[in-house]
Amino acid sequence: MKLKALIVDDEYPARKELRFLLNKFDNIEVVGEATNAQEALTLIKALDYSILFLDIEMPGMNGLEVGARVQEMPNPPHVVFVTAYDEYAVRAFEVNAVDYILKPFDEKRLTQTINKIVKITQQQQQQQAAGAAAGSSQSDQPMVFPEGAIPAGQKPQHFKIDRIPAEKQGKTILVNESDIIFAFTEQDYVYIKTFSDKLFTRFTLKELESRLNPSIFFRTHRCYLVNLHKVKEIIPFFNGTYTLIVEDNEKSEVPVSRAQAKKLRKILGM
Amino acid sequence: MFSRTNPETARRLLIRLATFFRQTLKRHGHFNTLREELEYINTYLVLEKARFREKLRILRDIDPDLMDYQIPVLTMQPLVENAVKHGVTPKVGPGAVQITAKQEHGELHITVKDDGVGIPKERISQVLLPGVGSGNGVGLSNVHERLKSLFGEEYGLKITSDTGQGTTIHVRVPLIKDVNEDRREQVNEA
Repeated sequence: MKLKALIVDDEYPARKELRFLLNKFDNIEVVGEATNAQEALTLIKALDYSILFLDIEMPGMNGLEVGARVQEMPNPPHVVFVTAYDEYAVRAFEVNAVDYILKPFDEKRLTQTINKIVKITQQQQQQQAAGAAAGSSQSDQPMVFPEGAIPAGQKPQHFKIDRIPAEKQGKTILVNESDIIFAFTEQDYVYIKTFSDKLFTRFTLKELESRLNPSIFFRTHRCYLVNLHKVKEIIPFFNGTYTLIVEDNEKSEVPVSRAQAKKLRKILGM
Repeated sequence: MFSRTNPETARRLLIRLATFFRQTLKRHGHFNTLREELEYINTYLVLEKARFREKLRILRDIDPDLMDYQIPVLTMQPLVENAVKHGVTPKVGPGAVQITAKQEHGELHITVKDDGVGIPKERISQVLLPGVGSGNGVGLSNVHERLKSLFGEEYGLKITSDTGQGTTIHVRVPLIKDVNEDRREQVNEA
């Protein structure tokens, strides 16, 4: 498991030092730096980071506000505040920070932070597997889209749930939208592919397409619906078509039809 | 911060920091030459440039003939530090600080100008009061009060600013070449 990290700090030496220290951890990969809140939020929306190292005193919007914004996102990264001041600690935890470390960095302390996050991530994955098998849902993951935060007393059909029921060994489990790598049809049946499982679902691809977040899921082919956040590689194929390599265990290949290739290029700005 | 990633830079900056402290402690009396004050500012700015790199730009327009004139200690440095800390740093994107020293009407005119976030118009009159401001409220009021008590009420700081418009601070100092002479006069008067 390699966790993707983003460093957000307006001071160049602070970013460099943290990057240098994080290089020593095999399970952390720094895949971005931002110097202010706007840059950070743009990057966070584009890539699914696991960890966000966030300075607090920054130009424009401060780190605490960024932390609050991030918490509103589906599947937010773990936020670690990194600051030279200790007076923000209480407010940091109000926006669900995993940790709060002081500058200058202490390597031992940073190791604690990383260990903590690795542990939480592993627990989440286990819970997801176990919880999913038991048909229950985790409490720390948002069940409902932000716009679906519904006042009590409204009709249940207004709920918009980002989980899809699917079948695993005869049991119905709820699959997190973000865990779906792609969905496909095979001999008249529709399957959802997660990192390690191929799950049967009673939805048609068209129904899935309308239930899943349209800004992330893209119909590449008559038989395939893919999570664009999980695409690892795009390989040009014959006649302007493409093959996508996705981030599941088997590194599956997903075909892109010629008609859809054009749309995909437009979406990705290729 | 650079100690491991770039030890040579770390060493250079550490020497700068030592120089900065030494310059702070070395002061005696109420006056410094413009040259000394500018060297002090330069040391400070090297340290800030290391932190903010290309975000922070410094422009200097100094009349070299004025270098040996005396100005009250720590007149300009707090203004430059304020421009960096409260002007440019909180601004999204790069910013510049311009330091100007010119002779006009037989007086030394110093301007510290930044294109940072600015001060809301209604707060300008308050920032010269002790205890008011984004920091401890010492910097500006201290310079302001000292200038007034040394040269007279009309010599305080002049601030022009508005939200998003940057800040310009203007200082006027009578041309003084030799402080000792000035002191002798004071003694005679006393």
